[in-house]
Amino acid sequence: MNAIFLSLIVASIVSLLFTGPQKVLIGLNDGASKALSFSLYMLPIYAIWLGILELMEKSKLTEKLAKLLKPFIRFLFGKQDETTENLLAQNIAGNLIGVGGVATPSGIEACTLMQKENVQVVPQVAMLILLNSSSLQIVPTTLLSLRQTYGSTNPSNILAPCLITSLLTTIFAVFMAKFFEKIKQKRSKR
Amino acid sequence: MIYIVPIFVLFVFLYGAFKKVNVFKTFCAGAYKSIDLSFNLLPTLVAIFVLLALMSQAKIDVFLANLCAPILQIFGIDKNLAMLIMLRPFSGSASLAMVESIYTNFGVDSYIGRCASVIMSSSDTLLYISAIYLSKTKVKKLGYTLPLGFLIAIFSSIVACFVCKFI
Repeated sequence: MNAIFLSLIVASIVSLLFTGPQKVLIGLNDGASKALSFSLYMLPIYAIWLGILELMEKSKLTEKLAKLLKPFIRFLFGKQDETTENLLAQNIAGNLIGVGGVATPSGIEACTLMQKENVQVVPQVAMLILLNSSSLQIVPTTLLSLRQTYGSTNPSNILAPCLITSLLTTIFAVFMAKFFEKIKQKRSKR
Repeated sequence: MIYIVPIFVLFVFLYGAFKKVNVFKTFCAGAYKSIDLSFNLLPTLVAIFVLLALMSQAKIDVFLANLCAPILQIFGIDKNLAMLIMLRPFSGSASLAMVESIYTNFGVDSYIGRCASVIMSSSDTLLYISAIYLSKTKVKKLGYTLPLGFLIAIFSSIVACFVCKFI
């Protein structure tokens, strides 16, 4: 991120030096004040969904979802011990409903347990990372609210495309992760 | 589809009451976290929005979009989504800022606005996730993980733009 940020900002300022130096200050001010108004837009949105997510955790709805996911986890990660399986379930359940707060700590724990002392990434950890970065979220809660804030006439009309895209991407991610795992196994056998 | 959110919210509240959770207190406790979250995000957002504003003053965003256009066109992706697709694996707040600027420039309900929404919600920050998930392990070699992650991100953008054409 650092490299991208630096190169883009230097390129912008250098090119503005030739085309209109006064625009640099305009850009700086515009950007900063826009950032503030945007975070004021986001604050109530976060408030709503973090409130609802807190409710889901306190009423153990997240845990219940995790239990339903067990067979799916066996398929993806093979047989793991009880603790790891629970952590994986929590991580995936957290992702499904978009609770980063639940997903991240359990993801870190699960990775640490599955990775053990290995220096090279084990396939199960690679699978978890890829699964997480393909985003499993069912209802993109904050984004729906953001669409509402920006005057969408029907914020929910992205739900179906989101669901289809997430599903296809996740299937693709699982398939590719398993495929690369196989290739690697074949290579190391030689 | 318009029933999903109302029913989901209603269910969470009723389930909380059924499990004898203090619904009001718990909701407020969760909502309170948004203050910390927004203020923690603010410095990053300032940096990103300043970058985006400078780029648009210098017309570098247009230049980059045109540069990527031929490649993106092959996959049926609009060139105005180039920046978002590039930023998505690197930073969550940067891509959120990008989504915001797409909403203001092209409209939330435009094809591009809808594509941006789907891209934003059907992929995640690969680099942040791999860094934080491996933080307690001794991993030195990531092997195929990152390249495959980028491939998956591109795949999800292509699917997003394709699906939005029909639904």
